[in-house]
Amino acid sequence: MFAKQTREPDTERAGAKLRVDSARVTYQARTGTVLAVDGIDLDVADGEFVAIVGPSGSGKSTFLMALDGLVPLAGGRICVGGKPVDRPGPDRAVVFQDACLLPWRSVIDNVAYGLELAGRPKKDRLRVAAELLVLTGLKGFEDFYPDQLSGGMKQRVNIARALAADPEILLLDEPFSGLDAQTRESMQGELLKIWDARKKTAVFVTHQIDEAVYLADRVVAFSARPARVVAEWRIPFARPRRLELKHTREHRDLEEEIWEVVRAQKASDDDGAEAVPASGES
Amino acid sequence: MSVTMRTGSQAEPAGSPPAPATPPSRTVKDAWAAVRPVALGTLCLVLLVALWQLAADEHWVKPLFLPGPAKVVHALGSLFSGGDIWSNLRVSAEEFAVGLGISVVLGAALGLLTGWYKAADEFLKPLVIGINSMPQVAVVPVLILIFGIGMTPKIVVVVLSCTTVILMNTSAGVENVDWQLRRLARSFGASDLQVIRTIVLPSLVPFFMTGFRISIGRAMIGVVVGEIFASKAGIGNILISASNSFNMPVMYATVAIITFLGIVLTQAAALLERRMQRWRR
Repeated sequence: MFAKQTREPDTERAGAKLRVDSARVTYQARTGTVLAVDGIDLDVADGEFVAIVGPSGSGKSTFLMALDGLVPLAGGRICVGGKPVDRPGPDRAVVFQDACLLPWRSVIDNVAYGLELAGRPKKDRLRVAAELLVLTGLKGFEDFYPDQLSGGMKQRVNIARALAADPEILLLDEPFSGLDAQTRESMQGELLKIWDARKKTAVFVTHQIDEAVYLADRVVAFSARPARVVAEWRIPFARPRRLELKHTREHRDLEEEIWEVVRAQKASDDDGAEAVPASGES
Repeated sequence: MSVTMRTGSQAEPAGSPPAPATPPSRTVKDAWAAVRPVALGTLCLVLLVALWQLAADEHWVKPLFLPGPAKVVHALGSLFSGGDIWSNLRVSAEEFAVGLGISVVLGAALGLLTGWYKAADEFLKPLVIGINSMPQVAVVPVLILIFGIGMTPKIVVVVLSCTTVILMNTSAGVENVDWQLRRLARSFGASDLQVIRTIVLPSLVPFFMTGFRISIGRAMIGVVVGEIFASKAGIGNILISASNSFNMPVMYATVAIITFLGIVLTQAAALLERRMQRWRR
């Protein structure tokens, strides 16, 4: 068996950007109330990139939606910069799993969407959006419509839109899971470049272990539903990280170790899994 | 447009690649493909007119009931040179526009309401289904008894036949709004009003436009049938007067005018629909 690492005790509790204390999330299913997240403690330091892995249907995404305030907590507390979270706010932005672009808006108007809702003047928000299109490699595609873009480009727009609102924390919900392997790999590299440029605090949910190890400063493994933290790993690789890193022995070994923990979770609790919660509008 | 991609991802937009050079042997085929839709449609019309001419010449139908095309064209000319036609068309156009306008406002508002609030939908459902299922022109005689022979009964019958169609389509549109887009708006802190303006209304456009396009045909039928039943003026009034006095060339001429207007209006609506959805491929 693997040696389960002990969680590092409160090393940076004072400086935590995001602090989660015994968060519980429930949702209503046809069969009754389901406990999706059961008592999660998690601190994320300013500028830290944390990846959350776990078996599918484990409540990782539900937890992320709770961090954004889209899903209410049934217990516990989530604080950003010391302030409790109970609804979405401009200090957080989500990169959704499906690109969720407004099909009737051009690329640049999609990127500017958050700023428009925040009431920023048109000239201002188009300038910010144009900057982000350059950063995300979308320059020249301003007037394209989402239907004219490939899956990878849609996700770039998705990322640019979240960054445009200039949040302190970026919440990413398996943003590359719908892409083919090659595109996913190049998008991971892109994301790191963008993240290096903007230095946001990031929480990244994924079921791809290699993705988590390559991107994150720290990987947290969730149990099968109801989600609890079962283990976490500091990722020692220096930044900036190049794509070749993924093929090194150290990277592979770490993937292997984490994968064993996640797989054990899945095996122990496979029967209780049903459909992922349709969180709907909240 | 020059674009520099930073990675090797398949970032190629599915734009319009330049058409491959056409080998000369193909040009005749291509030219035919280009004119074909128009050519075949015209051919159909020409054949119909020829058949009509033949039927008139050979007296397959009594000339009194079916005058030849030449006579109808002549009647069409005299209708327009006489000048009466314009005031009649104005009356019909007004009935059409007012009726359709009321239907759009009423249908869109009630459609939003029933799509958004389940209780409103449950409350209005019997009325909507009832009005939509009855043959609306069947109530025209009653409407004439109630509202007289002016424009009002025609407007009412247009509203009866168009509002439900627009309402049902709009309502279906509201129910079909992508919940993920609503969640996106919420995550950016959108208010209810912002969600409606930036997500719900744009999502509705295709649904609403379908209802609108169907309504154009229904409104024309409502106006003409209403005028045929009882009226002082209007294109349907010319039609029924001509028919009653066995002036068949004029009657066919009015049918041609009505048909022509129907085609033009429906095509215009289709064009508008495409313009409003340029983002669709």
